[in-house]
Amino acid sequence: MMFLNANMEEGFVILLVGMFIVFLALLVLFLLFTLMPKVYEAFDKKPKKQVQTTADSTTETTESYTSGEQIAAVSTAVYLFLEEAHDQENAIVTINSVAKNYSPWSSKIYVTHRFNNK
Amino acid sequence: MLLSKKRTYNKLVIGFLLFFITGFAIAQVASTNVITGAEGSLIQQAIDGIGIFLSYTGFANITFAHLIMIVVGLFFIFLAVNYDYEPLLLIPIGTGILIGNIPFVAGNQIGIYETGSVLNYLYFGVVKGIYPPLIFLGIGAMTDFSSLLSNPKLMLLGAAAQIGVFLTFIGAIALGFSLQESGAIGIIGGADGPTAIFLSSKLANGLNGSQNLIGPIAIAAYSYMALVPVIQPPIMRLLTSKKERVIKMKPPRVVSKKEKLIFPIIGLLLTTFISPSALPLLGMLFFGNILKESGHTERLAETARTKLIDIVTILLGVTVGASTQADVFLTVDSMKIFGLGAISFVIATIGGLLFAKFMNLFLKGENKLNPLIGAAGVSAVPDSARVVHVEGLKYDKNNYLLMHAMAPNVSGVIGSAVAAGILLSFLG
Repeated sequence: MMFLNANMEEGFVILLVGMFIVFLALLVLFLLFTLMPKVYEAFDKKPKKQVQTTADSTTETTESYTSGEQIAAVSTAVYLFLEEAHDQENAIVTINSVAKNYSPWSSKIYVTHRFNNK
Repeated sequence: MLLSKKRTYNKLVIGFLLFFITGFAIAQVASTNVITGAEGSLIQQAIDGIGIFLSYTGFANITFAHLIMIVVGLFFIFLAVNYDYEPLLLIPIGTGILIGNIPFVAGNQIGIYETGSVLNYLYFGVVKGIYPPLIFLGIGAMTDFSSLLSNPKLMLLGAAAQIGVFLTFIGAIALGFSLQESGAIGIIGGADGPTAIFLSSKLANGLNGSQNLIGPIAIAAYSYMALVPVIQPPIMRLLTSKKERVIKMKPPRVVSKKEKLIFPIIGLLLTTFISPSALPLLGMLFFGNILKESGHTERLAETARTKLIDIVTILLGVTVGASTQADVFLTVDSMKIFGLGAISFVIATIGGLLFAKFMNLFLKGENKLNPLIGAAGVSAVPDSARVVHVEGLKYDKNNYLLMHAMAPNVSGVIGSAVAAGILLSFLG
């Protein structure tokens, strides 16, 4: 460490301690939240009702994950459904005649902007 | 059509240039004449009056440095509008740069550094580190930690990326900055704008014997955050093989409501007990998240993640932009900070990627990580997660990495706040 000045030495101490503390903080959180589901399970263990199993009503217990593909499929379905609401119009394009009420403001006789185009 | 548009555009540019050149010439001539102008007739006095007025205009006081900064401000706005790079930040900052670099005569309580000026009052929130915790409150109220909770080991990626903070800190010392200044510069590697402003307002505010580096640090942090889609992909490709990039990760498990509420409470207690100096940031971050997850304070959470964060972002962006007044900002040190900032982002990305690969040595089968998500450990929420997702899709169109990448991304926010707390406790 002879080539380092005082600031640099202190800097390296901060580097080592800093990285250690950052890792420590997140490591503790990691451990805690890795264990948490297990702790839950331990506390949530209620006396389970004995399920009468019949030959045709057996259910397999599988872990339910929602995969990215499933989410994408559901989102697409919802999107298409909402878009479809728009497409269900009668598709007849008409130009309705618009009844204009007379008003001096829109009257050509009283037109205010008369430009001299001569 | 295109040609006529181009012509109109050219005419506009030429018009603007002529306006500025004429204004500049008149102001220069008039402000010189006012000194030599003789007293006497009413007309002469009127001419002198015009001269005095012109000497107060921006044209008379402009310098080359002002012009450079105005171009930088326009460039920020251009980036935001044309390329959609962090427009919510770059437009307020870009406009702020324009506001801060309009030349004026000092002493009239106009500039951001002049006591009593309106801008100075607004800048108070930056100098005293008031805005960043409020931004964190909003971030907390909009963040869903469930991806992190479903796979807690991804938190370590957020820690690994903080190597960028500490190595940049060492780099800044090597370039001759003081310890306090180096600490403030180092946090750019945390890729978190509010944290960078918070720490620089404490360590490099110009009041504790250090230089005032808040402006350059904030600009560097936000600029590189906006440039994450440009900086990160080449590093990702360099450090990962094609085989690694197509690794499909196990879908995240469903996280219960109770877990989601317990996380911010435990996170708050634990991280602030370890690093109390990060209390303003982490306290507000987790408070915001408690508002969101409690299920009883939806109104408050809604305000925090919409109106409040928007207001503070406006104030923060425009004042940080305005703080880049040319005479304060355009220095050799600022250039060094920009260089260090770029390096810090690269190091942080490398740290996250390599640590993900390191973790893979101990993981097997479907538990293996796609190392690309390590790059999201640099914080920069949610941009870096989005970059990871897009990069992953390039190699496998069915590989959705967004939710996985959000985990190191949000843990990066916690990690950078803890790192800021550590630097503050050592150097504050």
